[in-house]
Amino acid sequence: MQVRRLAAWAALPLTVALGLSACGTGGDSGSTNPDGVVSIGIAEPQHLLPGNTNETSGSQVLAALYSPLVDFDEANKPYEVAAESITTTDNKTWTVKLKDGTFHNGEPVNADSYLNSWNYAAYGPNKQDNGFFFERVEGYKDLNPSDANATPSAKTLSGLKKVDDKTFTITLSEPFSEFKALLGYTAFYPLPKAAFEDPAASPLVLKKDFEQAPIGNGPFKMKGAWQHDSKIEVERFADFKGAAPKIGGVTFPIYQNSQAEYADLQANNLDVVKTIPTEALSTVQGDLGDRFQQSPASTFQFLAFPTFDPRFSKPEVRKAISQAIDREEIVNAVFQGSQKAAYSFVSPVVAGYRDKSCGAACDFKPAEAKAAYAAAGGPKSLNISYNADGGHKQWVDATCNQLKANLGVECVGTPEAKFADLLQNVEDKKDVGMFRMGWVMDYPSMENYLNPLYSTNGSSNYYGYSNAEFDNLVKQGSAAATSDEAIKKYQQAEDLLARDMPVLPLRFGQNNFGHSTKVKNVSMDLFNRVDLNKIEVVS
Amino acid sequence: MFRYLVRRFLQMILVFIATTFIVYALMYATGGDPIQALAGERPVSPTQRAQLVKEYGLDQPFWKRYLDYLNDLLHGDFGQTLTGRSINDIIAESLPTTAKLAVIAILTTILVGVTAGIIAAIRRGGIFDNSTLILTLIIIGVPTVVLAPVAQLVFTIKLPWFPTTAGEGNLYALLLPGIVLGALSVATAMRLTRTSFSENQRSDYVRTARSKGLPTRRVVGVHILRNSLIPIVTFLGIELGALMAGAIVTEGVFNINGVGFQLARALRTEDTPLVVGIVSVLVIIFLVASLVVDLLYAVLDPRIRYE
Repeated sequence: MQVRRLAAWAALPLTVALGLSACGTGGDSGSTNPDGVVSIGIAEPQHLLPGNTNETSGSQVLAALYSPLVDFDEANKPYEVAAESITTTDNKTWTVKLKDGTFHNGEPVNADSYLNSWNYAAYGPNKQDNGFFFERVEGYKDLNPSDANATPSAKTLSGLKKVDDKTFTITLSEPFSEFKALLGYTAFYPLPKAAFEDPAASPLVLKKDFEQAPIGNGPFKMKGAWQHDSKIEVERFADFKGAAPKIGGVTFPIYQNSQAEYADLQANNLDVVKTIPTEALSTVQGDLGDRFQQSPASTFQFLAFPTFDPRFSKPEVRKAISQAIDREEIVNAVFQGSQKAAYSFVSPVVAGYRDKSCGAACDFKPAEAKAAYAAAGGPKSLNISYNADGGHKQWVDATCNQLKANLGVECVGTPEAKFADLLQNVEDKKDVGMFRMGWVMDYPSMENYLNPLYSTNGSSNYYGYSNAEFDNLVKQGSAAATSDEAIKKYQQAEDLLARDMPVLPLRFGQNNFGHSTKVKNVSMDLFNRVDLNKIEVVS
Repeated sequence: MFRYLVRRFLQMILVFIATTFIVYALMYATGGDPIQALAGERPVSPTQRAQLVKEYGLDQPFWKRYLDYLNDLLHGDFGQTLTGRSINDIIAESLPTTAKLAVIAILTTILVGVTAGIIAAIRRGGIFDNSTLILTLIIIGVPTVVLAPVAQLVFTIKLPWFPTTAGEGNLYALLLPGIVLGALSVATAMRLTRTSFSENQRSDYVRTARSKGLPTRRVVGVHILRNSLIPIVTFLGIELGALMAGAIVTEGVFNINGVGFQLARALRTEDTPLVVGIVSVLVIIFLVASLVVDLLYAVLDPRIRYE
């Protein structure tokens, strides 16, 4: 978030100089209304349950209702919020001590609140979207048998143990130094006893209507129930023991169509739009002025090579293709600056990020690339597969045109109906050529950008990249004693990627958000959520 | 009359079953993966997938799935969406909103289209006739995807006369989208009224009426109007059915939680139960609308009888 802060400071004098301050953010002198209500546009959430909410609309609402164990500081490192301390000696057994807290129904937050919530989420038959976050906890496999029709042999995670009312331990199946960073996500919120039919039962059964008005431990509580396709309202929870927010409540109007949402912002009926629709990006500066803001987001777009395909097996070929792509041109011409060119394998939102870690391999050097490509015997014709439903055609065609011009090869974009079809073709080792991939982090750690994507057994390693040295470094990082040591190992692993180029980094995502004249101090956190602790209402 | 109604009802049942079958089969044949559609580009864990497959019977053969569905449907149960919401609730919430919108649209069409058509027919070849001809041609040439956002920009943002979006579904908020929807059929209604009206103006019974000394108001208002209404009623009846089907574009632009809004989402997320559920309701609406239109013929023209 450092970057965004700097941008805001730089933007303020600029607007004054240009005389555009008529609809400014209010500056620091304007008074604020601590009881004001903010409206933030969302889409209809799929679910409102910690273990089952994995999209930004639902997690935005849950962020108001729940207080996480850890949050992330300016350097994107985790610090305790609802937890008093989170400690470990061996990266395998983690001890969590809780601060005092109350749920909105008056129940105290204790160790059981967490164990119940996590056990419910991890239990396979509950088919929770966030169940996989507990993969690292000991006993996860017993709750999720490989044959899905079989009844799991255990009903609770054997790695979770209650020590006393305010303390519990988590045992992982393997040491993982970055585990604390995981705990900041939606999946790790607690649930009150009132969420379950019978809190003593095993396995736990969720009350049917709990999702309609979730009870949390956070700064805001539900005001009425979830009004499907219409809105969700929350108001300040008087007994909240943590840092109090500076607003009285939040209304989340639900939009199906992002342009309708943007129109409401233009009419000043809505306070925050988290994602400005692509169609409006060319006019947004004129519409909103300095109320349009950008900040780094966790998404990472890249081009992958089927490294098992002999045409692409040489790193020199992959590197030459990388150097023939002018990333800046595509970002400006196709995306109108709504994304950022990527010169690293790890997103700027995680600790350990280094700019240009890809080095010379990502620099735009068309002449050198052409010579190297010819020398390495790169294929005469290329194609880039993409999913047609995601708005990728334009940039894929633009990339192809650059390759045609700079390498003197043939290049076409090959659309597939769905992303899943594309991945299936890759898995079946069909001739897909290069293909587009995207990644959104699950937890803010370098590890999340390395292990799943490039380890030999990585869950999303579709390109067959396998490097024992890389696997080893990632493993060492996960077992490192401190997070600084872990980052060092991860950075070494990232350097190997720059050498081997199994994929070409293309772009990092940005939050492109805008706000009305009625609010100020609007910022986005790592998970594409508006930071409800900072936002203020101008009175 | 009674026998006619019975015959129509039997036909309706056949049509209803056939359409649900076709829609169900089409959704099935697209061969998409609803579970993946729900998850977006995120991988779905095998356990989770298997659980969902079991719960929604995605591994059952087509016939079994369709018959199960039809059985529930005939018991008035539309089932659940893939995110676990009751489809009955969704339809109960969205249908009244769409109905309000449709009524506003139809009233706009009648007030503007039919009235202007009558005036144009009476003063055929005049300035009013020619200017409305040009105007309606322009409106008919502008698609909703342009008309709706432009109306929104002009009348809610530049001139803040109306609410920008209508999430809550109150009548005032629905006014502008209703007028936009109605504007599209104004042109057709007007041309239709004008033609039908001017044709009848020249018929024998009008000449007779005039020659026996009836006042013009009565000739126009009773004799010509009533006889000219038949094609217009047909048009409006079908139009009302179409409007009830929800205007996907308009409801999207104004964020109206109606049938079109739900249908658009169901299609995007490949939510088969929701798509088929909504379509089934729409089929019923269309069938009833066309039955009412047919019955209205007999009211307007006593020569038509249903035996």
